[in-house]
Amino acid sequence: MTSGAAVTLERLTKRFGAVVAVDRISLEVPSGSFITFLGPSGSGKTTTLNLIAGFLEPDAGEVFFDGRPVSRTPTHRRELGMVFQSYALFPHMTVFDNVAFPLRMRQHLAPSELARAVDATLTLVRLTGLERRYPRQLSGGQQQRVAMARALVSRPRLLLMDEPLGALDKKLREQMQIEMKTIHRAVGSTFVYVTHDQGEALAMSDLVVVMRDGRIEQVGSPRELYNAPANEFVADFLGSANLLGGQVTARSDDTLAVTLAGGTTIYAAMPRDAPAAGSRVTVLVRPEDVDVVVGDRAPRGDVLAGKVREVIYLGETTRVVVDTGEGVLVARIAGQRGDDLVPGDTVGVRWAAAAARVLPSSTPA
Amino acid sequence: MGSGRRSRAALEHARVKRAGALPWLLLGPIAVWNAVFFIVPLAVMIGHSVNDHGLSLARYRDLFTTPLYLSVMQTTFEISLLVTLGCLLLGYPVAYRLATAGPRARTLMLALVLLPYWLDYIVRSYSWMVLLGRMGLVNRTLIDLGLIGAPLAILYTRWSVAIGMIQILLPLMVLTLYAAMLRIDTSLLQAAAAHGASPSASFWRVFFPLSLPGVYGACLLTFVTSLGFYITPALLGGRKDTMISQLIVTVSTDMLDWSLASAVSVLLLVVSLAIVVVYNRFFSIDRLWGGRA
Repeated sequence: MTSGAAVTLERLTKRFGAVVAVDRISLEVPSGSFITFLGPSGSGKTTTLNLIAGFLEPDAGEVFFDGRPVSRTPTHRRELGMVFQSYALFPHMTVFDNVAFPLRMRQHLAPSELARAVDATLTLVRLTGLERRYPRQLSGGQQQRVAMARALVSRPRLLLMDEPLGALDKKLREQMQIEMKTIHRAVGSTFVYVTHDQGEALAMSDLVVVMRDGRIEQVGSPRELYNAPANEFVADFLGSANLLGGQVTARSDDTLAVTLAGGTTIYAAMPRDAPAAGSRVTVLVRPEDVDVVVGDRAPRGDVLAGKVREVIYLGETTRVVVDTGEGVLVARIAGQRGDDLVPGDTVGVRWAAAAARVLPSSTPA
Repeated sequence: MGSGRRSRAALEHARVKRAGALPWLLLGPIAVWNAVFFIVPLAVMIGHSVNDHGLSLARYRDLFTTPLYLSVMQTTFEISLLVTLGCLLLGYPVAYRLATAGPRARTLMLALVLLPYWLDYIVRSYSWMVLLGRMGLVNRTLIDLGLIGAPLAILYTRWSVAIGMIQILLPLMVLTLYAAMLRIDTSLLQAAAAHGASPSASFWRVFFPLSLPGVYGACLLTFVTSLGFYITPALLGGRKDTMISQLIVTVSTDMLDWSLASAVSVLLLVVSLAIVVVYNRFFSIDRLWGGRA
């Protein structure tokens, strides 16, 4: 069990020509945590990782490992482990030599100790018996495990991963997500992970850092980000979101009445910083909180009338896209419940007022 | 929808069919050119080489039994080997810098590597005569600096031939190495650094082994090209540095023995091909052209 390194970023900045790839970001990564940088391509997440690795030098700001600045420390002295998107396995070395590489570079072990350490790590990533193969003789999933083993073998206190599951198929990816979590718990290192896949970020991380245009949009646990997104971008990027724009018309102790553009008034849970009456707000309703009601049974809660546009059966769930007077809304209902819906049906959509969340008015422009 | 897809498939099929004929048509002009100006003369030459008042291998026997011819062949191999090694030692660092440099530095360096190509190699060979002669620039500078008392005999030796040929063949070596090095994935070097390899460990453990196929290929190209050099050894070499191409010229134009000259030429061709084939067996230069090892 290693104790992970604590990583601190302080007003870290990197420019490529006129483009500011990373723009004064500050962040505390607690020792031993699993933290994920999440964002679309071009958001600066990989650049941030490369700055932590030392492949790039910051134009301003500093990276600290356990409180010590590392900008002048070359990559090979940063005591890292790293998993690359392309795996970057050495093609001229066997699996054994690939995994032994960090040990040979960093420690001088007797051959028997070296073999034992390599073997233990290959067992950890559940890949044994292929030590004498070359990377090109392995499947993508096996190569991924070799890359993990190489990154872990010297028990680095900080493990960096750049979209390591991107090249795997969905099933294997989900399996590896679980295994990575298990490995993280077993080794105790700090894991810094980069991905554009929100599902992956939610599944594995203790902390998720959502990035856009070189800046941090929000930092929080997966639950916090999903349930209390700081703005429309985060709400939309994590999971799918129905976003409704409107104006606050009334407020009580725990609910807020918001009148939407089309004239309908809906009710939303009162946010922490209560907006004044008359201010413009955006209301978030997650598709899984939206219910579709057929016919004109007595409605409870907010109901928007609409017409079914599309019914998409996904097995466990069914996505129903409904055209309402307030725009298109997406509902996710239990798989079999959509059986009798067809496009063109007149329906109502509704949700509990507590499921409607007012986003902080973050659009400063 | 369905018909649209079908017609697209039909279109695709038609395109594949047409593409089947077009590449061959495009090959036509060069094929004709090669046939008329290369294959036919080659056949004529081979014919000459086995014609000694009737079909005979006598000229080949002459080749292998005359000490002069054998020593010319040996000299040719020795000079080519020297030139190849010289090009490799000088060219590898340049190619490495090229492959690892930023885009702007790379453009500048490539221009510098290619600059000598703009000067004809006959001109360059004559220039070396001026530089390397008894009272040439090199000797004079060394004497003026007090490093030597009397001029060194550089010109008309094996060294002057090697210097001239290395200078001419260096761009070939550098560019071939560079092309091979470009295919080394830079993330491998990042992976080496991330896992504790110092820059020199990263070079020797990762970059260098992965560049070896390129080294083998570039050496082969340089060596085989060296074998057929004529002007440079003729201008810069002494009597003892006669290479096989000079022999061919002497035999055909001075001795007017076309049959023997043809035999020497065929021998040069066969030896070059044999080297390529054997070499490919061991070092798989196909990788140089992007083929699989």
